[in-house]
Amino acid sequence: MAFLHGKLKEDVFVEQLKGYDKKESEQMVYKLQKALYRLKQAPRDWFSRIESYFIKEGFKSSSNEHTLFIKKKGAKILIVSIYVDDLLFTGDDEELLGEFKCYMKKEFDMTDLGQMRFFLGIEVIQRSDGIFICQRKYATEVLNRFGIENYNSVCNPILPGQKIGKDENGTKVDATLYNQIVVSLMYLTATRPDLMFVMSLISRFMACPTQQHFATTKRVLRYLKGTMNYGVFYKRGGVSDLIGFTNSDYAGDMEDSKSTSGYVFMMSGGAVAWSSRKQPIVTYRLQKLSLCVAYACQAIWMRRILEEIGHSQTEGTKLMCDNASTIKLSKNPILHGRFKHIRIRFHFLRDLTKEELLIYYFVVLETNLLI
Amino acid sequence: MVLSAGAKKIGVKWIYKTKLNELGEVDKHKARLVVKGYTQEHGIDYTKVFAPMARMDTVRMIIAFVSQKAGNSISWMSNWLFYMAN
Repeated sequence: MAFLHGKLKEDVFVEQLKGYDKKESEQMVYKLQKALYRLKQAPRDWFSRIESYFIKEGFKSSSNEHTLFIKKKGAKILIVSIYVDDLLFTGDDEELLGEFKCYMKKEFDMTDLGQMRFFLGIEVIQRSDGIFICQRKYATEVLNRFGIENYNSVCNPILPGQKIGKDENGTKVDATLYNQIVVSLMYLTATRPDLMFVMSLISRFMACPTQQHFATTKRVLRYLKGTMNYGVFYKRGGVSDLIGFTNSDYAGDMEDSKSTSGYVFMMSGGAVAWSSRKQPIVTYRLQKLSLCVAYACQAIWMRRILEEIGHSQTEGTKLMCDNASTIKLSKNPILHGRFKHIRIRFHFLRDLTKEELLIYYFVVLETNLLI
Repeated sequence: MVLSAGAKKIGVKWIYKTKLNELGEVDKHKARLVVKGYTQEHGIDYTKVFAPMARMDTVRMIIAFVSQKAGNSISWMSNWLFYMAN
């Protein structure tokens, strides 16, 4: 009943309960002292309540992620992350953990669910050799919902090199069904970096899907059928430093020649962050470099979070990309008139490289994980 | 109390749920009082909304970090007793 602990700032009046109403004074109302479920301001009030409580208890709120709280006691650490009314926490000190559990129970009536096994539909398998996350249960539900039990599975989510456009002359299909499938599949990208590219692609056609788009979506479902057990495994003893890979196609979109670029960050032998998106601007070869800025921002943000949770990166984060000019530009101040419009972005990149927070590496296509 | 002039009241209703256990048997009946939040209007009944949702990137970084530590594990707390069945 954590939500009900939020203190209301506004005056909210509710009608009397059926069965509990007072005879002859049905017009009277109740003024709420605390939040109720489905009240629009309830999540916010609940968060400010728990936030002030955490601060009082000596937690430090992360400036990079509002929902992350860290308490340090000497070398010992306690990390708490809030997802609406679920809390996930970890730490290396029994005393801190016990204390925390105790006052969360007392103060917010929370239940200790022990070791995390299931979080927001994600299965978390904690073993002695590492932690595995997957969405097998959710994937099964999606497949059952769209009735594809009898389909054969395929080995890739999309045919390599297949280009899909708006397909304006194609036969239109039911947009509602298409959108339902896309939305259901989208959630799987929480543990499935392999679906990221195709999901970002097919979700572009939600406004006006055609037979061709539907076939692509169906292929994703068929791929999913054969790969339901896929997830990410974070191995104990894996490389614990953050390392990034990026790549982008060149004017891959058939209609507007915009490029799609993606990145993945690895840690402990598993991917921790990934993205694939079509760029909002048309890029030509040289400008392609500017796409790396978003990638650098993500790296810096991740470094800050890791520092806060007690995993400071002592060396610069290695970023792998196959664009030689980006690397050159990030190292040497060779500014050309042609780069003027993207100069600020380059200064940002170069400063980061100078401070040795990021180290760019050139990797050939074959070793780049994104290929 | 009497509703002051100009103020609005919000409807409430009970939500009943039947929770099943692993075997599909009735575990418990839950009742929860909710307000009809959809009648609230932004700027009139409330001004700011915010849902404290952690980014998945952060959650995964915590998981990847903990996977390196022998003896550490990630625990969780919730008011959703229901999850315990899973």
